[in-house]
Amino acid sequence: MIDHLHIINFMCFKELEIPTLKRVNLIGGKNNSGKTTLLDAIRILKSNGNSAVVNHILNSRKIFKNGSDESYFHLSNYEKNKWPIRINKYCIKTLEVEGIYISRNYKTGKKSAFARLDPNIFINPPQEKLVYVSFNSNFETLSSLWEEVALTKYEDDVYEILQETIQPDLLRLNVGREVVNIRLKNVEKPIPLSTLGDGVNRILLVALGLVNAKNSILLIDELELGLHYSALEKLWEMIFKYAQKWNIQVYATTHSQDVLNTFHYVSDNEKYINDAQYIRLQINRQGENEAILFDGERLRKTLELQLEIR
Amino acid sequence: MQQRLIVEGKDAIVLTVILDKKGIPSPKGYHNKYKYKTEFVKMAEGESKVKTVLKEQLDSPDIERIGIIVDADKKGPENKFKGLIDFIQKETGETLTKPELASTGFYYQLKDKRTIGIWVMPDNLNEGYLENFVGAMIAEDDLTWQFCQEKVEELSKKDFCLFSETKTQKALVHTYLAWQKTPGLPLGTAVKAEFLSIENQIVNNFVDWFKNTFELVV
Repeated sequence: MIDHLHIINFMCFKELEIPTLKRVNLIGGKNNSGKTTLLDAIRILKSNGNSAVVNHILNSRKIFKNGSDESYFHLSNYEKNKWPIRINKYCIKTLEVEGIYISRNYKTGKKSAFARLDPNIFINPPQEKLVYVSFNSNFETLSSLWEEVALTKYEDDVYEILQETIQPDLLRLNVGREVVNIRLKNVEKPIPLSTLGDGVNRILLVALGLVNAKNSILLIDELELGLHYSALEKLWEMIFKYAQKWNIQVYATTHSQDVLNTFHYVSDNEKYINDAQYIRLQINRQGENEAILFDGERLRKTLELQLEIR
Repeated sequence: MQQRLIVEGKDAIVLTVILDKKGIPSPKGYHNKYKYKTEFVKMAEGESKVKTVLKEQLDSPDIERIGIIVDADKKGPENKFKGLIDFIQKETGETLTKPELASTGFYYQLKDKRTIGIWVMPDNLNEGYLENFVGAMIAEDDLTWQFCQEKVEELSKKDFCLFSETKTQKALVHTYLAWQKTPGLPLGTAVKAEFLSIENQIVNNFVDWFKNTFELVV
């Protein structure tokens, strides 16, 4: 679990500090406030600046120029990579890899690690596990996540999570080309998963994300895409339950009031309230990046008064 | 640019009706009635909820003007005002100089040019509530009003009287409205029906405070 983030000079962030992170973090804010960029920063941090991850980010943002070193400058907030990019967290272990710089946190005196993305010393250090699902590139991600667990003991976890959240009589699952088929108890032939209802493919996507992210981090970009609000409550119940059970830290971005409301409904109880945090990213009056943190209590107070906090 | 009017209590409608009748335009960006009601006006029951609403507005980078209307209650305008100023200081980190109590209400401009206006019901000088402000909209020599005052006072002395002393003014105003040509209109509708008059100094001061807080030119 990352419990604190400090990002300097990365894409749209000049400097952003998030002093507290919880188990399940929902990230909101206007367009271009840096929601997806925050997820990208976590991907780079956990991959220790691995170039495959960096290239994927550059590709998905369509700023990759034939692998030229110039591309990396786009990751920097300043002109021409004048300052190194720093993404750091409280971290006791010291990473002694070239290109990973160690800094001392001014508050705690603890040493922190940050990845420096400098094309001249770019290296491919070992990556820590992390799962990234984007609701944009739905099926592709789904089949690759399925491949990770198919025919392993984790396949059983997929059945458990689906039986508990959407379909108690589900027996087996098969991800084929462009279609997911399932087998139900007392039904002879396979049926397409989509017959179970709206948005169930996306619920499966998150379920596979959770199974793959045990003891690690799950990032979900644009949680609301293609999901009716009635499916969202189920989805959050699944996320909170298995994030706790399997020790997963979750980051999800959204624009949707429905996502925010259902996040609150599901977490507003003794079991989950300390796991939940809503983070609004914004540019403050001084033009600085800022994260406004809503713990369970602040979320309850503001939503009860129907205040706009997106 | 966004703006907010935070009103303590449940009855902001009477205030918006007064502004409408006085020909005050809606603040810029809030000409749509639904948007005005749901986004511009924020009602909050009790002091702590007023502060919850205020905190969110101060944390938002988009909100440039905030009008706050609270009741002086039994605490008095000075205490109520100080409570709000302390809270704003804590949230913004700015030191605000304390102005003299004045019937015209209070204004602050923060260093970043945000405007905050505070109006303490009924008139920034006396203890009381919205109902005292509304009471000032009834002519002193109105015979029904005088009769109501006698009767409510008489009732308040009986041992079967149900309302507490602090609610006497509320009972009085609603008794008056119960005995109009159309009995029992809510406050806002009573202003529209002209059972309550908008021609008096307190209402004029309030309208000026609103105009200044939201920089409205009539």
